[in-house]
Amino acid sequence: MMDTIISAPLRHSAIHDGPLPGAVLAPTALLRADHGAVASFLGVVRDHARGRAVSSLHYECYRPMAEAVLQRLISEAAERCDVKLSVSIVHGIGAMLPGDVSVAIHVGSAHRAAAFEACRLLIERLKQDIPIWKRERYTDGSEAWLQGS
Amino acid sequence: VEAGSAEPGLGKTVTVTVLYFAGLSERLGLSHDTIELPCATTAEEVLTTLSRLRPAARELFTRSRLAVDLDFVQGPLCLSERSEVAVIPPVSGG
Repeated sequence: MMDTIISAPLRHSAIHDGPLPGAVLAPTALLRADHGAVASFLGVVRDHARGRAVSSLHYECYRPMAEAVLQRLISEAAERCDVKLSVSIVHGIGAMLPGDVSVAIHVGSAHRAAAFEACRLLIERLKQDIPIWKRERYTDGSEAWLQGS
Repeated sequence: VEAGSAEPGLGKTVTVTVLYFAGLSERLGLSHDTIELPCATTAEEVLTTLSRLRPAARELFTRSRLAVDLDFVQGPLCLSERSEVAVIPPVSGG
């Protein structure tokens, strides 16, 4: 006789001080027997922007709202793509260097279509709505806020 | 009898703290303003009032969104002393 295992979807979101640590880059917590597909997106700090060489970044955050936005985006993705979706999203803030990971999104679903769709939806909606702002510092020493990207 | 006084709450105002961030905060040299606003207003009216108060960032206010209690708002609003009001300039997370 088969055991019926009902496991609740994993829903995790956080704002992290600094570049994301190795532990959140892999979707280990979403590797479960009910998820036949896991899709991940990592956002990496680029060393160039609009033709200029970037030496470092600083992310400012309206933290309580950023945390609330992440939770709302997860609910929206689950509603649109798969109610049983598991999601983990972590966004780093503060000082970062090129090559650092600033955002990690992992999505688990029974099938790949919902996993890919939800992962794409989450990063696009995050970029529209999360109250986080990037200040770029260039190799010539100048700095600028990015206003919309 | 004054016009409008028959309707309770009409014309009432509230003192709220408005938070500024990133390029907007830097342009104004301020992290917040404490201002008096009508209790019954709209998101668009609040942004217009703020851009008149702080003309140095008028153009940036036109590209910003208003948030109340950690969510974006548009259209009619009911503000109270406990409302957390924030102006969100164009975001660049991710």
